Amino acid sequence: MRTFFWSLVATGALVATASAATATDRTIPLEAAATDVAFAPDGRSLYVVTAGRNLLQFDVAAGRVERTYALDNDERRPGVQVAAGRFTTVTSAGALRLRELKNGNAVATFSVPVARARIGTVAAASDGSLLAIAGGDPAAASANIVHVVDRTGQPRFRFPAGIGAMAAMAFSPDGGTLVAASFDADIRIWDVRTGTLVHCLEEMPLAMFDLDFSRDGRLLATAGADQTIYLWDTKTWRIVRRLEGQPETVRRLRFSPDGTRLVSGGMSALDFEAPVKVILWDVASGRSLRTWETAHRVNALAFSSDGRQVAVADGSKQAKVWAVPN
Amino acid sequence: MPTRPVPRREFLEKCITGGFLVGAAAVSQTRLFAAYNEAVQKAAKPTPPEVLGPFFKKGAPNQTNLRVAGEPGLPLAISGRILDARGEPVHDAKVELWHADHRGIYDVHGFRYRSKLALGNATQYRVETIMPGHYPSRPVQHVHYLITAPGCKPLITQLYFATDPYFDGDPDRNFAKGGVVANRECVRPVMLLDENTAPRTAVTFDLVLEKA
Ligand SMILES: [Fe+2]
Repeated sequence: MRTFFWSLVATGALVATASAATATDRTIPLEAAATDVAFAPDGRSLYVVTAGRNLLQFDVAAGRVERTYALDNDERRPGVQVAAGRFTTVTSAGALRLRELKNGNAVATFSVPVARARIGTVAAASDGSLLAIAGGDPAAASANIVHVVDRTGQPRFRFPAGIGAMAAMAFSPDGGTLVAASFDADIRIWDVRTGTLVHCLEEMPLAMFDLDFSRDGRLLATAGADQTIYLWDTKTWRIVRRLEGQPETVRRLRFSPDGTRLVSGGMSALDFEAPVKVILWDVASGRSLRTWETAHRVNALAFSSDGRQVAVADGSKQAKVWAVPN
Repeated sequence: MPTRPVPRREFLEKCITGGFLVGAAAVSQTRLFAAYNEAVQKAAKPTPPEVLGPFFKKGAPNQTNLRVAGEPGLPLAISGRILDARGEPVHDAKVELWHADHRGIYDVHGFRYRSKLALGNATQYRVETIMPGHYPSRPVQHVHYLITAPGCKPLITQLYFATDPYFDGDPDRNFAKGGVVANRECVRPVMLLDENTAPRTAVTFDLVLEKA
């Protein structure tokens, strides 16, 4: 199967006739590795942003790229926040830029005071009203901070955030809580209405590389270097389940919209260009339901809003859409 | 009215002409100035920070021998002093260091090649370990450090090796290649000790902390 897709990419033939695949499986050849993917709310389009500074709108049913928007030369590390219809890029001057997914237009560019003007991880609340931006503390080497700003860049809070760079951050679905996983292996939880640190989960010995809330906000999934996915009860902040079986470091994970499934993607710590697994999990039983493979480490995962498709971007020059088994 | 800070040069010249800074032997004022200035600046230079990286693990044991019997790898002794920015020894430091094995793999299940040294009254550290390996995702041999001490800012840094093939024999020119190493000062010379036995290597890496 993988060879088949590779041959399609190699010959430049596209995609939609992949008879060995189910009707909706897709491979999208790209000019550079995708850094993020997200389905449009109607599920028809998949947005793909690439390290080659392009935003692609891909028609999933038709199996073709509908539109491509070129970003500016000074923009890098594009990431999608589709719920608010926007995505972010980081400019080489150290500013954060917000763009509209529907037409690629820049709607805001602002900077935050981080060390050496190097913006790290960025997260957006699902309604787009708040952004969290991590970076080094300009006043203290080796210390990190998280800025919470509104959609115009106006500062709300500035949180001290430990000593390691931030691996991942996420707002709770109601927008009231921000969770950040640091390379110092602590998970910090802030109330973004009062601007206070409400919990610091210190029991993980190793860093978590990604985290995601279930849509009802009751569970937080985290995973990282120890190859285990942890499900946390967000009321008690205790681990309620462990999903084990990813053969590599877990680099990305996402809940399905109904919260019954979870998809995780790996990374070989030794070689980012080594093939890794993408695993579909049943959240209630902790069993794996399906395992796929990508050519390189997984950069991004996304479920369609009906939960029936999952999109994967890896470090190779392609993105994929797979049908989720019932 | 705020007092204007006296520039260092002006201040030192004053000290020299005033006889507060004197050379033991007959040296010119210019040389005395240069030597003193260099010594002070050297002592005052905190170890530059490098990133923590994703494979830090809490709870490492306080152990000085990280070698594992039967494991391959070029033996390496790493040692150094813990100093503050005035060049004074720092007490009660905790020096945490970790690195990959000879293949470039970090131990995430246990604490192989990981240590958290609690130095107490000692102001020097020393570990016996092996030369870390290369791996495609970070092709420079390195040892991670996290150092804390009372009254000092925590320091996160990394030690690199001047003998690393990555530097092509010229770390002065090549240290910044690929954006992997931020500071030339963290690339240290390697001493090869042979002593008619199996080859061993040794590196010194002083850790200079800033006052909190
Ligand atoms: Fe490392």
